[in-house]
This record gives sequence, structure tokens and C-alpha cells, in this order.
Amino acid sequence: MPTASELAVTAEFPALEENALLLGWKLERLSPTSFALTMPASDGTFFSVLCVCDRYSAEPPAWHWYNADTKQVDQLRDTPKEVGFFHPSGVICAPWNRLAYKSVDPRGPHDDWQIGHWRSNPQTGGCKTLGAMAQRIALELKLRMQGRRAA
Amino acid sequence: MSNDNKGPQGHGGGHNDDITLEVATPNGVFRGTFDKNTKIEDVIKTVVADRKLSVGDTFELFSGETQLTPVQRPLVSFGFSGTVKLTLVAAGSGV
Repeated sequence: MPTASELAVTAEFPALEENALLLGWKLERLSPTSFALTMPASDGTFFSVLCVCDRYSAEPPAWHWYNADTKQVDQLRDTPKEVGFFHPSGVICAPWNRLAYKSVDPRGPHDDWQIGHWRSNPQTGGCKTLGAMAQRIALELKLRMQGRRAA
Repeated sequence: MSNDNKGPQGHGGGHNDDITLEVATPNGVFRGTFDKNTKIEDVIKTVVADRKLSVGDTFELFSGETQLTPVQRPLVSFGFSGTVKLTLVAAGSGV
């Protein structure tokens, strides 16, 4: 029997697929609760994220920077330089990213956010679905990206 | 999830005063035709309703990296014609 997280990802995945097709993203479902997404940035290069949704949506997903070739996550060469919500610690700093919580990841900037209340955090805004989160990351890559943290 | 729609002021496909929009949204792709003089704020309202997005949330409409503001401007004032690809993005970040 599918878990609640698997059902949630399955329900939201078609919207991601539609947007990926329209916007030229590469989307690959890796497991019932994870997928990789590759999106263009302002410098003409591409960045990839690995979205892990094993406790979604009771908790937000974990959005890792990802290398689709090596399968490594959160390497400096695959991570944008700090700007906006691309935090100097290397995580996407938003209540809808599990990695932003210090209780989950020591790099997480926030020990003042309650992970179980991520949907009601005012800074979550409308980013309550996987599609909304992916769009927000894609936009930041287009608007504000200023290179990679390592060559 | 996608749907084909005619905006509230549309006049049918192929009309010179029409602009067809393909809009990526948090809930999939909206497709619809609008009169070229339709204001951005009315486009956003139509797309939010059609895609069943939360009206209480804030959404921003972009053409590439360009945010379509002020929202009182009509579609045609941004130089659009024919079929245009846009993104409707929910506000929400952190830091």
C-alpha cells in the first residue's frame, strides 16, 4: 500500500511534468518519493536539484543541489553562489525546504521555525506544492544566480 | 492537468486582437486566449481560478525573467502577440 508521501507526490507530479515540458526542464522520477529536476540558469548553464519527499507533506521536502552524472548532492560546484534565498550555508533558505531547519541539517539557518508548521509559516506564502517550489527555484536561478560556489 | 480556455474577453482563435497564453503555474499549465487589451491583473485572476490556486496567496506573472508589472497594464503593452509562454509564480521564500 502506498504511503501518504507517495500518494502526495503522485498527485502533484503531473503538474511538474506539464511545467517541465513547457519550460524545457528535465524531470526524472527516481523513486516513489524522490525526483531530480534540471533547470536553466541566467548564465546559460543548468542546475539540478534532488527533491526528497519521504515525509511530505507533514514535513516539507528536502531540496538538495544535485549532480545528475555523479549522483552526489550539495557539492560546491553544483551549488549557486549566495544570493537571495541561496544561503551561504549552501541550502535553499525557505520554510518549504527541510534543509533550512537546523533541527534537520546542521547547515540549516533556522532554529526559529517549526517544521511541522511549515505551511503556516508566513514566509512559505503560496509555495505549498512541489510545483510552486520548483517554479520558485527556477525563477531565482533565472533572476539572481551569480555563478557557482566552485568551478 | 492542462486545460484549454478562452479568457473572459477572448474572441476566438485567429483574431488579430487575441493573444494566446501558455502559462506554467504551480498546478500545471493553463492555456487560453485573451483580448490583447486584457489587463495583467485579470489574466492572473483567470488563471488562478482555472487552475484552482488559492486566491489568498500572492502570485506574480513573468515573461522569462521580466515580471509583468504594473498589473494594470494590458497584455499588448508588453509587446506580446500570437502565442506567448509565461510563468505564474507563487510568492514565498525565506532567508
